[in-house]
Amino acid sequence: MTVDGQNHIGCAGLRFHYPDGAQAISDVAFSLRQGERVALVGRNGSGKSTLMRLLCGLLPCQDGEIFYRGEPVAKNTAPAPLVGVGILFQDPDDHLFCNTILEDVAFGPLNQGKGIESHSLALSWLKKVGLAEKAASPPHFLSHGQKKRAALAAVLAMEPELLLLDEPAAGLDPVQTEAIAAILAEYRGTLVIIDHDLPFLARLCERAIVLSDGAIGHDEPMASLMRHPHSLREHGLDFSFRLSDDLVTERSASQKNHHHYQPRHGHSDDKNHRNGGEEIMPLLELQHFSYRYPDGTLVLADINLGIQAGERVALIGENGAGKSTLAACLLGLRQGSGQYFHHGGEVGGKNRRQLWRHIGMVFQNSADQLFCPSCFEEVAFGPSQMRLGKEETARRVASALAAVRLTGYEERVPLHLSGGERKRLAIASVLSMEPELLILDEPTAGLDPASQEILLRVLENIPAAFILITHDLFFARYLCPSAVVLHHGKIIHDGAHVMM
Amino acid sequence: MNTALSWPESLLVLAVLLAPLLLPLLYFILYRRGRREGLVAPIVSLAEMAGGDSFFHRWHTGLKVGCLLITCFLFVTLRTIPGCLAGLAIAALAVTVSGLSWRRSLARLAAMSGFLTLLIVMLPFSGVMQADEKSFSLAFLPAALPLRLSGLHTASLIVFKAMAIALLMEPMLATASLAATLRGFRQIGVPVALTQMILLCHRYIFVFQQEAARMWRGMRVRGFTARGDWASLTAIGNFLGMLFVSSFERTQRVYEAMLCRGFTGEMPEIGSEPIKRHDIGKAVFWLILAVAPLVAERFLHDFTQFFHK
Repeated sequence: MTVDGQNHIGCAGLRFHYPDGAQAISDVAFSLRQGERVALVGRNGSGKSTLMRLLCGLLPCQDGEIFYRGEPVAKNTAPAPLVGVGILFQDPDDHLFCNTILEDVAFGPLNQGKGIESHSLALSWLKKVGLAEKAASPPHFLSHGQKKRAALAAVLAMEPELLLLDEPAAGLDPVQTEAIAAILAEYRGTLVIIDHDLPFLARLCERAIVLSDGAIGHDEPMASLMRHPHSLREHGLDFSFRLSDDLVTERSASQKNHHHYQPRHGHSDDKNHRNGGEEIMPLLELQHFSYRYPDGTLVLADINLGIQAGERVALIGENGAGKSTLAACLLGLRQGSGQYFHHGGEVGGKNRRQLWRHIGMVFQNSADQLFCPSCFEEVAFGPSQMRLGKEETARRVASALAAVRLTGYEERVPLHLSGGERKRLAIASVLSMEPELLILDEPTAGLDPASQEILLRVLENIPAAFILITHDLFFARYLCPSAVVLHHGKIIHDGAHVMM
Repeated sequence: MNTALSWPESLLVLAVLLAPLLLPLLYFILYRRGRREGLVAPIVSLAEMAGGDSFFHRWHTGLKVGCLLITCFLFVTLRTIPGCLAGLAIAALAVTVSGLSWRRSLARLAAMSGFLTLLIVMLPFSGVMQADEKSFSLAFLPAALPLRLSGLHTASLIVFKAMAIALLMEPMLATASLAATLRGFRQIGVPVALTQMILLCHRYIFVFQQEAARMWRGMRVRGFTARGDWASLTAIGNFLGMLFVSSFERTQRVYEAMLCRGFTGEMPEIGSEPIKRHDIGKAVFWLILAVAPLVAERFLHDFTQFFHK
C-alpha cells in the first residue's frame, strides 16, 4: 500500500487474533481517501467490527501497519482511540452513559476542551437529529430510534473527520432509517459504514470493501458490486432473493382479521364488526382490546383482531406503534381491557397463565432467549417445562433442530454461534413446544443476506400460524398474505399489503 | 414497678407497637392500586422532579446537600421524644415545601417499616429490667415477659429519627439533577470516583433492569415458573450467568465508547454553579431551623423533664 497526502486512513498487512487464538483479521490492506464513503460488508462473523475497532485504535495493532493522516499509528497494547475518529456501535445504549441526552452529546465536545460552547453545540446537534425537545430526558425514556439518533448526534458533535458506523439503521423503521440516511448524506468527512442492507449502503457509499473470513474478498465501487450477483452470493451478500416476484400479497385481500367471531355484542351496520356465522372459529380473537401502561399511557386502543389456525399475518408499524406490546398481550404477559378469546374461550385467570403452551415467541434479540449451556438444553427447555418424557423431548429437539437446519449442533454452545444460527436456534427453542401460533419479532434484524435467505426458507416451512412483527417489508410480503398496520396503538389497516 | 394491663389496654399497646406497619398500608391504599407487571417494579428515577421550582430547587446544590446532611446528624443527636417529633415535623415540612410527591416519601418510609416494626416490637421486651423501671404486663403475654417503658422510649426515638432522616433524603436528592446533586457531594468532599460510579450505576440500572426483564420474559413464554426444584435452580443459575456475561460485555463497550469520546478518567461538566448571597441566607435560615429542636431539648431542661416524668 502506498501512503500519500490524499490517504486519510489505511492499513497494510494487518493481522489480528483474539486471545483464544482465533484469527479475526488476516493480511488486510487498503487505504481511504479524505472524504471517501465506504461500505464495509461481509457475512456475520467475517471480521467487520473487529477491523473497525482496529482502525479507530480500540484494539491494538498486533501485526502490520495502520496509517492515519499519512503517519503510521503507534502500536499500543492499551486502547488508544485516534483523535478525529468517531465510532458508533450497534447498541445506542453503549453511547448514552450520562443521565440526560444533552449531557451525552456535550460529553465529547467538553472533553475536546470546548468549554461552555459545548452546551450550545450539543443543543444544535440535538436539533439536527430532531431531539431538541428531549434534551433534558434521560436516555431510558427514549425509543430505540430516538436513542440511535441521540448516539449519532453524540458522535457527530465531536466533528470527527473520519466516521465509523456499525449498523446505524439496524432495528429502525423506514421513517427513522430515512432520518439517519439524511443526516449521513450531509456528513462531509470520510465515512465507513458496516451494514447488511445493501440498498441502504448503495445510497450513501461509493465504494465497497467485502470482508470474508477476516480477509478482503473484494474492493470495488459499490455500483460494480451490486451488479455482480456471483460476488454477492460468494460472500453471503446476495439480496436478489428479495427481488422475487413470488409475493403472496396478490393472492388474498380480505378484511378477515377485523371482525368479531364471538357474538358478544352487536355493531349493526359496521362491516368490520360482523358476527361470525359461516366463518371458522379463530384461534385467537381480540375484541375492543386496549392496554395502558401503569403510568396511564394508552399503548393499544380498541384493537379488533382475529387470527385463524395456520394463518400468517405481518404486524407492521413505526417504532413505538405498540407492536411488541400487542405481542405481550397475546402471550398473556400483559393484561388489558376488552375481550381476548382463545379457541372461543375467554382468556383470563388460569388459562391466561397457560397460553405459553399454545403461543410461542421469538424475540428480536436472540440473547434475550438463549441462556442454556448447550443447544440441546436450549431447545429442550420448553418441552421440559411442559413435563414431557425424555424420549418425546429428544424427538421434539431433533425435529425442531432439523426444521431450522441446525442438526448436529446439539452440543454446541449457543453463545458461540453466529447471529443467524442463534436466531434459528431461538426459533427451534419455540418450535419444540409445537405452538399453534408463533410470534416473530424482527427476525431479520442484524442478519446478513445469506442468513436472511436461510431464515426465509425456514419460516416458509413452519406449519404453525405466525405473526411476523417486522420493518422488513419484503419479508412481510413474501411470507404473509395479509398485514395489520399499527399506528399510535390503533389498527389503521388490516388486510392485503395494498398500501405497501 | 409493673402494672398489669387489661385485654383492651393490651390490644391498644399492641396496635401502637405495630403502628409502623401502617405506613406500607397507607402507601398501598393511596398509590398502589394498579397491577404490577413484569419481573420487578419499574425503577423510579431519583431526579424525576428535579425541574421544580421551590426553596430547595433554587438553592445552591453544594450548600443544600451540606446543610441537609448536617441536619441529619443533628437529628441523630436528639434524645427526647418531643425533640424527635419536632425533627420529624421539620423533615415533613421540607418535603411539603419542596413540592415533591408524597408518594415517593411514603414509599421510602414503607420500605423501612419492616425494620422499624422489628425494633419497636423487640426493644420493649428485651434488656435487663432495672429495679425502679416502669413496665407493663400485657394480657396476652406471660408475666415473665413485661413491656419495659424505657425500651419503648428508645425504640420510639429510633423510629422517629429514622423517619425524619428518610424524609430529608427527598429534598436532598430529588430537587436537582443527579449530576448536580453529586457535584454537590463532591463539593463537600465525597471522592470523585465514587460519584462517577453512582452516576453510571444510576444510568445503567435501567438498562440492566430492561435486559433482565426481557430475559425473564423469554423464560416465562417457554413456561418457566420458579420453583424450589433442582431444574428451576439450574435455569435461574443460567439466567443469572447470562445476565452477568451480557452486563460484562456492555461494561466493556460503554468504556470503549467513553474512550472514543475523549474520556480520560473524569466526567466533564457544563459550567459551574456559583454561590450567591441568597444561598448563604438560606443555609443560615435552615441551620437555625435544624438546630432548634436540639437547643430546645438541651437548654429548656424543665420542658424535657416534664415529658420524662
